[in-house]
Amino acid sequence: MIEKKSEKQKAKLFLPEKIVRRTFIIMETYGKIFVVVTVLAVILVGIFVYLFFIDRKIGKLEKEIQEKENQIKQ
Amino acid sequence: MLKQYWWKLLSFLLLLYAVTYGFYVSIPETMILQTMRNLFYHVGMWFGMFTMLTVSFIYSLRYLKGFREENDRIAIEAVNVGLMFGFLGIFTGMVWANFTWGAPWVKDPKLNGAAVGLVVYLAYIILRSSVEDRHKRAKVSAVYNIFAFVLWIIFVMILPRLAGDSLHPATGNNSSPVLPMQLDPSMRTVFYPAMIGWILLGTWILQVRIRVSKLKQQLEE
Repeated sequence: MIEKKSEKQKAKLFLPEKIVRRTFIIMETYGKIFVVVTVLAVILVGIFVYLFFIDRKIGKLEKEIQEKENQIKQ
Repeated sequence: MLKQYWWKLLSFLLLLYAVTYGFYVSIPETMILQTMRNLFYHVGMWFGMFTMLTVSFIYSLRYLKGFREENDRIAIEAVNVGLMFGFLGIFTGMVWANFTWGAPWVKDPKLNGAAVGLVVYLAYIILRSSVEDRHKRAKVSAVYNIFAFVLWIIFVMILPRLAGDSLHPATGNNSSPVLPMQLDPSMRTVFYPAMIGWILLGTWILQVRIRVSKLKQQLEE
């Protein structure tokens, strides 16, 4: 592992040293695996946003059909 | 809004946590190396499937009690979502097995049991499409579904354990590090939230499917 002291010290201001060191070790040993993790996270966000909009669309349809049913009854 | 969506939001947060922190959490050193992290995702498919099949089983029982069409609808849609999880579970398992056991499919009681379990539920879908009368279809398939659930448990959970020589973890006396009971404490902090997240995601998809099916019927009437 290549030590990146300046970056490490910068990050140290915000995070406990243990976490910072682990993150650097993982990033170095697994060859920037967190780029892949970020891609996975983006896909997951995309799928959930998509599902949310489908959900809302169905909600609107349900309302419309309910209104039409009420009109027919009247 | 939040009242309606909180558990959907929870599912999202749990899975986002599993997909990110799942790569960061420390795992024990084993023969299967980093692929152990698949536990958070592959096993989730089976948790999702089992939950859906249990829901379907309960609603089939409830249908037979009062013959309310609403219960039949939930039963079939839960099987549909369960099958989706089941196939994803088989495929993710094949990817993993290709690395750990050297081939996508090996002769193993757990794997064959899971395949038979899927066939049992595919037969349920075929049975439904073969009966034309709506009420008859609901009754026949509810009875079959109760047998199907019992068969699934026998094939996926009981027989692999009795066979005893399965490669797959969670099949009895082999003490594997990937068993939830023997899981590393640090892995548990991701494993259980991930399982809840997958189950909630399945529930969301189930709810969407039920609502679409209801709308379809209302339009026909």
